[in-house]
Amino acid sequence: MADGDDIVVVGSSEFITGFRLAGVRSTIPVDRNTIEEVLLSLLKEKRAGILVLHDDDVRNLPAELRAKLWQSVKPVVVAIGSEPEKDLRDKIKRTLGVDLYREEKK
Amino acid sequence: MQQDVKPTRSELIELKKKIDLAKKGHKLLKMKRDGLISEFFRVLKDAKNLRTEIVEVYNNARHLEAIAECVDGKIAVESAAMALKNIPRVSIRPINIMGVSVPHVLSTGEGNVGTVSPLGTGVIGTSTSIEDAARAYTNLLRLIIKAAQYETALRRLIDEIDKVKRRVNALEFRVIPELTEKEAIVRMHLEELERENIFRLKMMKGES
Repeated sequence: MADGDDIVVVGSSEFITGFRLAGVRSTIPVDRNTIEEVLLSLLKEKRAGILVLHDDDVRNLPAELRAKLWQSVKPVVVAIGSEPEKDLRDKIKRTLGVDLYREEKK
Repeated sequence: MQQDVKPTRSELIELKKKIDLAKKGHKLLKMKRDGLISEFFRVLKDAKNLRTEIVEVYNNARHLEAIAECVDGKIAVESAAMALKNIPRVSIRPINIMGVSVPHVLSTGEGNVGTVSPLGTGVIGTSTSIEDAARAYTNLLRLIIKAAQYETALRRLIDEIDKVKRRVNALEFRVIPELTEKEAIVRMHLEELERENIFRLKMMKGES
């Protein structure tokens, strides 16, 4: 086995199929009821290097788990599917006083 | 607040030390905040460009996957995915930016990137629609590996900036003014005591 950590894709079966075409072996099909349990165990085990999720799934998670995911250094969490999360954008706006994402679009 | 200040010389010295320390801390934290902000902007520039690119590539990959499923069927797509030998892997190393631990992601295996056929099954092994979808997802994966370190770094940096900003504000608008006020009270009391002493001495001198 090669050195390094796995890229793990967690999501609906439609979401993970494409990643299997790119060579990702660790794909975990989940639904709304099982996603929390799977994510918690992945955070605990630390066997994943990058954890790929869909934005919609992340949005539906409890705030506490979401914060845990975003703060994790290993695995690194990447949510794809849409523009950056609203809470990150709001936080940047609140902390720096400027909506940096909006400025770029103009 | 005035009740818990002892108007003594040692208290005045202690307060002066505390004010000096608070001012030094305030200056250092301000420097840290500025450093973090400049680092944040550097990361933000890369993260924003990547995010836009990822959204586009992901939508395109989904589209190509849907075409492949329509043309060849879901089972063909899934069996093509099963045939892969090259597995992309990454190495995560935490790096420290001004006390903030952020991930540094290195790709240790490029998966199928760079080969003639993304699936590694040869040019006649699969249909072109599956090949296109696989190529699009490989490209997406490459971008995800790139984005992984930037997005987490961005979130961790903005949290730290927020924390440092609160500390700077607390020192600037609460701790230092309170200590300065206490120092003024002690100084005033000591001066008052000194004046009383001088007056007492003059009175004694006048009586003798």
